[in-house]
Amino acid sequence: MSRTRAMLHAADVPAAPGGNGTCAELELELRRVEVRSPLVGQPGTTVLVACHTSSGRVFDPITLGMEDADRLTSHSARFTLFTPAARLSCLEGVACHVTLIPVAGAAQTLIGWGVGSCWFMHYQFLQLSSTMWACQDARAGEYVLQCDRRGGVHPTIMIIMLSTGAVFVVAIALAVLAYVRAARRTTRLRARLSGLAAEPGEAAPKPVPMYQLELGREGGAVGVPPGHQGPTVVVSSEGSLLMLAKPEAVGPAQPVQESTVARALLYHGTQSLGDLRRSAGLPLPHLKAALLVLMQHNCVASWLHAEPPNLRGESRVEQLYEALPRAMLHGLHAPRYLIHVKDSLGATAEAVALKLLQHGRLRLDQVVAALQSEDAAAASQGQGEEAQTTPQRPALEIQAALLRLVRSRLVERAPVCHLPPPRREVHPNARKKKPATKPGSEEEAEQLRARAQDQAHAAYHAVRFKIPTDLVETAVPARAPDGASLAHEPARGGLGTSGAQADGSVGGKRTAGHSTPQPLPGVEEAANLPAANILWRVSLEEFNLRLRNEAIADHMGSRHGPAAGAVVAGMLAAHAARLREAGAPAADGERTVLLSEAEVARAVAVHEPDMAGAGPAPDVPGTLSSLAAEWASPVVAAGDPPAGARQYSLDIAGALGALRQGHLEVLLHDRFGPEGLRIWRLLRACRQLEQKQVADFCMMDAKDAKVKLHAMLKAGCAEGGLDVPRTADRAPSRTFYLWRADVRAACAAFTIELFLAAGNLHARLAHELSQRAELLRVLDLVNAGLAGPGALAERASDFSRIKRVTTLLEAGLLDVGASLALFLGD
Amino acid sequence: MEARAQAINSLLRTHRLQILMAATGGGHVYKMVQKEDAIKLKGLSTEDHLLYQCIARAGNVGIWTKDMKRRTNLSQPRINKIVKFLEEKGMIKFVKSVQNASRKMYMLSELEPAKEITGGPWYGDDGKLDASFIVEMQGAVMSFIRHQRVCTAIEVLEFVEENKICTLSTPLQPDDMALLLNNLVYDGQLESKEDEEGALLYRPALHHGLESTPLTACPCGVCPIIHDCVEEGPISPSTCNYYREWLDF
Repeated sequence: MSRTRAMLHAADVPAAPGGNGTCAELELELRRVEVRSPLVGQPGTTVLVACHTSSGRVFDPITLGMEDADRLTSHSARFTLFTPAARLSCLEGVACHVTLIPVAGAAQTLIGWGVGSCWFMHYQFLQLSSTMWACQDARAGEYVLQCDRRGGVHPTIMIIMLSTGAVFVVAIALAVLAYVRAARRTTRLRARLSGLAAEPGEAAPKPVPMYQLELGREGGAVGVPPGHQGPTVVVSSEGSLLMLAKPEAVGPAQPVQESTVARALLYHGTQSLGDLRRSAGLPLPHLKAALLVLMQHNCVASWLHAEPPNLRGESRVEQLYEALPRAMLHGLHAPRYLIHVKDSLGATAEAVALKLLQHGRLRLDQVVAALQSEDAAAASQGQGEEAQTTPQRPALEIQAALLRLVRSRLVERAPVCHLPPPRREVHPNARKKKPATKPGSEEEAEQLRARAQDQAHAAYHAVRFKIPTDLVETAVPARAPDGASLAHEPARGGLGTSGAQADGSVGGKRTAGHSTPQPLPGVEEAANLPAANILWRVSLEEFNLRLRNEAIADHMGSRHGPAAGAVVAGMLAAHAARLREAGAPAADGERTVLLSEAEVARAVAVHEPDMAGAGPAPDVPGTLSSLAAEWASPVVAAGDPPAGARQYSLDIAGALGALRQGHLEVLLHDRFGPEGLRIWRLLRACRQLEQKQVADFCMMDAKDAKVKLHAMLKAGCAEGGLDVPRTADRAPSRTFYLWRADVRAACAAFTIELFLAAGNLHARLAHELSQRAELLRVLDLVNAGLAGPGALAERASDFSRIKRVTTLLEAGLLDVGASLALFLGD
Repeated sequence: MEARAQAINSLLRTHRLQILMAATGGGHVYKMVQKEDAIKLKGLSTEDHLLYQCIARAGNVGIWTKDMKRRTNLSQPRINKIVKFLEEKGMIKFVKSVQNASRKMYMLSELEPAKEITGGPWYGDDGKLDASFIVEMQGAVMSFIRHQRVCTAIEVLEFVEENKICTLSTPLQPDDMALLLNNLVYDGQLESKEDEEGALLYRPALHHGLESTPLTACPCGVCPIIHDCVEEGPISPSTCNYYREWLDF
C-alpha cells in the first residue's frame, strides 16, 4: 500500500538525499539469517545465502550448516553472521536469496529474487534512521541487513579489523558485545516510544517502521475483545485473514517477533508475560521488544491484574497482555480517517493524525518535534521557491491542531498500563440469581473488586477526551491556520456544543434537568496530569462509530429523502452530545435519548450544510412527524402535543439492523436469486416453517424450494436443524423438519466473507505491486529526482495499468472496510 | 317384525337403503338412498359397492389406491379392476394431487377436488404452478395498489372480482389474495403493516433496496470458492482469474 501511495502521490515519496544524483555509498552487512522449515530437522541440511545488488553479486555466497546455528529447533534455525561490509552505491538496491539444501531431495527456496518487497533501495536506507532492515518472506525465511548510514566503516567492522592477530578472540567478543548493545539500544528506543520509560523533555522520537500482522492463518477463533457485542469473528482454518494492523506499511520491515507474539496472543487469549513466553517461544528480550512495539501501535492492551490476597495478606500482581483484533481491523479506515480529518480540521491536523497513525501513540512534544523535523527535512530537500514557501510549522499551531482533534473526539488519551482487566460481559440469559451477599463475605469482596475494576475503567473513559488544563490555557483560538473552516467541527464530532464546553474542561454548561454526576475516584488526578506526561493516539473506534452513523443517515436519506437523512443525522449528533454531557461512552444505548424538536433542529442547523447540500433547510418538525408516522420507521414519537412538546427518539439498533439487512439481501440475491431472497424474507417474517410450507407460501415448486433451502443452509444463512417428530418412534418419515432464517449466523458469515475479501484484495494488491516492482523502482527514482521523466514515458501503458489496478483495489479495500464498520460497529 | 325385515331386505337389494353403524351404542342406523343414486348403484357387486362407499367417504380430498386396499382388505388387482369398472361407469374420477404427483387418487365424479388436491387457484390443471397467470395477476394487483396508494387484501379482491380479472371456475378467496400480496412483499415490491384492527395494509415499496455492496462489487463477493482461496494455495488471490478479468476490464 505504501508503494501505491508513492506512485499516486508523488509528494508522499521520501525524496533521496542529494536529488541531483550525487549521493554517498553505503556499507552493508548481513547480520542474521533465520529459516523455518521442516527440512531444518533433517541431518546434513545446509542453508545457502546469496545476495545481489542491481548491478551484480554482493557478499560472497554463504553456506551454513546446522552446527553454525546459534538457535536451533526441529523446524527453525537462526544464524548470526558477521560478513565483511559490502558497498551499495547510489540508485542501487540489494536483495538476498535463501535456499535450504537437504542431503536428499529437492532444495527449497525460502526467499527468491522475485519477491519485490525484499529489495532494499539505497535511498530507503538513508531516509529512515533504523539501521536494521529485515525481510520476511511468506515462505518462512528471514534475513536482516544492517547499514552504516554514515558511509564510513562500521564500528563493528573496525573492531574486527583491529583484532587481526593475537587478539582475535577478544575482538570477536567485542563484536558480539557491540551487537548486543545495538539490540539493547533498539529496545530502549521502543520502550521510550511506548511511554513505559518516558523521560520528560526528551528529544523527538525516531520513527518506527510500521508492521503488518497476519491473523488467523493457522485456523481457530480469533480472540474476541471484552465487551464485544457484535458478531463473533471466526476465521476458518482454510481462510486466510490478512489484515493491516496499520494503514500503511512504511518500508518492507516485517519483524517476525511481532507477528509471532500477536499470533500467540490471538490464539491463546490474554496471557501473562511468562505464559506468553512459553506460547510464543521467543527469548525474553525479543518478546519484550515485540510486546512494546505492539503496544506502541495499539495492537495489544496491557492490564494490571491483582489476585485476591491470600491468608497471609499477600496479593500477587502481574501484568496481562491482550491482543486487540478489532483495533487492528479499524486500521482499515485509516485512509478515510485522514481524508475526514483533512476536510474538517485542515492540513496541520491531518499531519498530526498521520504522525499518530505512524507511531501509534505519542506525547505532544514528540508530535511537535516529529512534525518540525519533517518540515526541516522538507525545507532542506526542497529546491528554489518551494523551500521558501514551506516554512516550519510553529509548535503552537501543531498544539492547536492536536487540541482540535481531541475536542472532535478523533484523538484520545492512550490508556495507562495499570488499568485492571475489564470484566467479562455475561449474557443476560447466562446470569445466575445470587443471594444477597453477607457483609465481610468472600462474595462481597469479589463484588467490591469488580466495582473497583469498573470504576477504574470509568475513570479512564471520563478523561479519555479531556484536554489537560495546562494546554487549555496556552491553546490558540480554534481557527485552522491553513485556512480550513472549522465551522463544522462540532458537527463532525457529533456535538451540539462547542468543543471546550462539550469537553467539560472549561465552563461546561449543563442542560437543565441533568444532575451533575459524582466525580469518580482517579478522574481528578488523571485530569490534572501535565500534558508532557500524556500519550495521545487516534480514536479509530470513535471514527468507526461515525462511519456507522453516516451510513444510517444516508440510508434514511435514500429511503425518505435528503431532509429525512439530515434530520436523522441531527438526531444522532444531538444524542452524541447528550451522551457526552452525561459522560457515557459514545456507543452507549440501542436507542437515542428522547430529543425535542428544537434540539434536533439545532443539531440539523449545524449539520445541514454537509447533509443537505445546496438544497433548502429541512422542515425539522414536519420531517420528524412524517418520519414517526412512516411504516417501520426507526423514528418514534413520544409525548402529547397539547400537554407538552412532542419528543422523538431513534431506534439505532433497528436502523442499523435494517441497513445490515439491506447488505445481506444484496448478497443473498446474488447468490440464490430472487427466489432465494423471497424464501429468506418469508422465513424472517414467519420465524420457522416446514419445507412444504415454504414452497406453498413462496408460490414455488417444492423441488426448487428444497434446492434453495439446502443451498442457504450450506452457506450458513438458513438453519434447518429443528426436528419435530409426529410420532413417539421419531421416525424420520413422520417428522417435521423446520427451517428458519438465522440472521445472526448470516451476519457472522457475511462478516467473515468481508474479512476474506479484504484479505484477498490486499493480497492481490501486494501481488500486483510485486509483479511491477521494477516499474515502481523506476517511479520511485523519478519521484526522487534521480531519473528523468523519460524513463516513465517508455512504459506509459504499464504505468497507466498499474495505476488503474491499484486504484481499483485500494478503493475496493476502503469500501469493504466501510462495510465492516457496519457489521462490527457496536 | 318379519314384514319389516322383508321390507328392509327388499330396499337393500334395490340399493334404496344403506345400513350404517351407530356412533354410540353399537346399533344400526338406516339411511335412505336417493333414487338417482340407487340407479347408479344398480348392477354393482358387493365388492364394487364396498369400494364405492370407501371412495365416497373420502369426500373431495380423494383416496389413494393403497389406502383403499388397507380399508377394504381387497387385493390390489381386484381394486384396480373395480376402480376401472367404476371409472368407466362415470361414478368416480381420477384426480392428480399437487402434493403427491405419483399417487393415484380417486373421488366421486360429481365432486370438485379440494384445495389440498389441486393446490388452489394458482395451480394449473397439470398440477403445476401457473406462472403466467400469477404474473398477470401480480401486474394487475400492483397497478391497482399503485393507484390506491394503500389498501387491504379484501379491497384488492373486490377489485379483481368487479373487473373480472380472474376467470376461474372457483372464485378467489381472501387467503389466496393474501398469499399473492405477501409474495409481492417478499419480492420487495410492496410493504405491509398492520392497522389498529389487525388487518394488513399494503402499499408500494418506497425503496427497492441496494443494487450492490462493496462485497458483491468485487470478485470475492460472487466467488463460489471463496472459502477455498488461500495465499499460495491452488486457488489464491494472486492467481485468481476472476480478479484478472475484473482488473483488466
